[in-house]
Amino acid sequence: MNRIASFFTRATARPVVAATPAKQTTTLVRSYAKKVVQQGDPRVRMIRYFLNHPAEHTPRPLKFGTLRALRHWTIHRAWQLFRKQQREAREKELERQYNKMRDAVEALKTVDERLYRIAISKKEVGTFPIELRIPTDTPPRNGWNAGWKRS
Amino acid sequence: MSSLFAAVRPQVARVSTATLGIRTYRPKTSELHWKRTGRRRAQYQFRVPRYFRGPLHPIQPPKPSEPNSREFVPGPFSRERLEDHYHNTIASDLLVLTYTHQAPGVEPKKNDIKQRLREWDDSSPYHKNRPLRGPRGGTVLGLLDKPRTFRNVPGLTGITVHTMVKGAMQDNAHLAVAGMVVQSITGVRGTVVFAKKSVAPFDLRAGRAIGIKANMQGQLAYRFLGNLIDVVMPRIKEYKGAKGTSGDSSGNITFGFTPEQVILFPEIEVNYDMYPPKMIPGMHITVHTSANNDKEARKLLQGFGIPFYGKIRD
Repeated sequence: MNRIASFFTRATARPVVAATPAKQTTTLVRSYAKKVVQQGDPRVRMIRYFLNHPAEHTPRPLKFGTLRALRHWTIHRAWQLFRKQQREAREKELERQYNKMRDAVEALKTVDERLYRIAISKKEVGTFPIELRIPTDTPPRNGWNAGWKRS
Repeated sequence: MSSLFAAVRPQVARVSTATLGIRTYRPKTSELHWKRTGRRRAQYQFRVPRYFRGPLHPIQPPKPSEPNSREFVPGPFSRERLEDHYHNTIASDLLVLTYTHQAPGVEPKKNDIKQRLREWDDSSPYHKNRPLRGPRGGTVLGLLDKPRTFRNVPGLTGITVHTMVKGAMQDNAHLAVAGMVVQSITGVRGTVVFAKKSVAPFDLRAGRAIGIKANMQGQLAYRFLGNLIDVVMPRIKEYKGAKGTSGDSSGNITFGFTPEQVILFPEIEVNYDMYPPKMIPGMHITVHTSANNDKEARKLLQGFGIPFYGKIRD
């Protein structure tokens, strides 16, 4: 990480001190500070700034009171437990489906040898159709074209 | 609780002051902070170390799941649609599509590594006691296909976004812009890639920073892929999809996007004006799957909705 940060900073456009400060004849205020002129594309400057200063824009670590920390811990444990149960349920469901498939193929072996050979063959198994969509809770109003046919 | 308060409560003299002739300090009610406010923070607050100083340092950082950790990320606040789709539909379909029958009671064939390596043809006396010869055409043995069971259904394990920035050789700004583009579309801070070898025709010298890459896993990977499939790919004009011959023959499939296509990412499009348009890079996206061969990995991606074109090489 340090290597990256240093890398991004290596050739940053540092503010360059103007060689000839503009002469101001009308005002009496003298500027002792030298004028700072920013060089380069401002968009690149901004990008560099935000890449190199992530710490200033990331929040501090949270500090919780005892009870609040305890509450958080309880919720966290419950969530982990839920995830474990969900994972096990999914695995069991897959196991059930797999066992059923295997039993069906075994049964087919006793019934019809030709169908069994076709069933265990890996040729022309096919794949998912391109029309398969990721389901959504909020489909577009006219998103589904019922009259559509594969050309 | 009482013991906790006892530590803070100022000691009040139990002995009569008159008998001892000593003036004791008796705090006013307004000075008693614990009486004034009902809720207070715990007295002891663990200060999280800013840097990890190694496994032997007495102060160790807390686990990332704890909220006082610097790595703590709150959430998840939503379900990933693609992840749900995978568990609800694709996993069981893949199990059917890639089913290999193992008769009960029959042991699956075991592949011995010695059978996969070649013998030497004893044409020279020096062949004696040599280790076995490597595979034809290379030094790498391909992954073996394990029989499909319900435990090894292919799934998404991660996504790598990589971009080689040619302009970085002339101007460092290209690399910074590429870093920001990668960071904003992946949600992960990119790491700089350095050239391994010098390539004279490209004026590339070893050790120069030439690219950015970022790795995503879990929820971030699912979100990225879901965005890619639902938002970016449909908006690309005349998009054919990933090449049918893509893949490293161990279940990882790569496809590319040109700079014009990268602009279509919603994260870029929303503040497109903040990027110098000529510096937006194209990128390669590698989808890592737990499949051991490209055929099954491609099936998984087809289930997700990525189209493939051209000759299909399995």
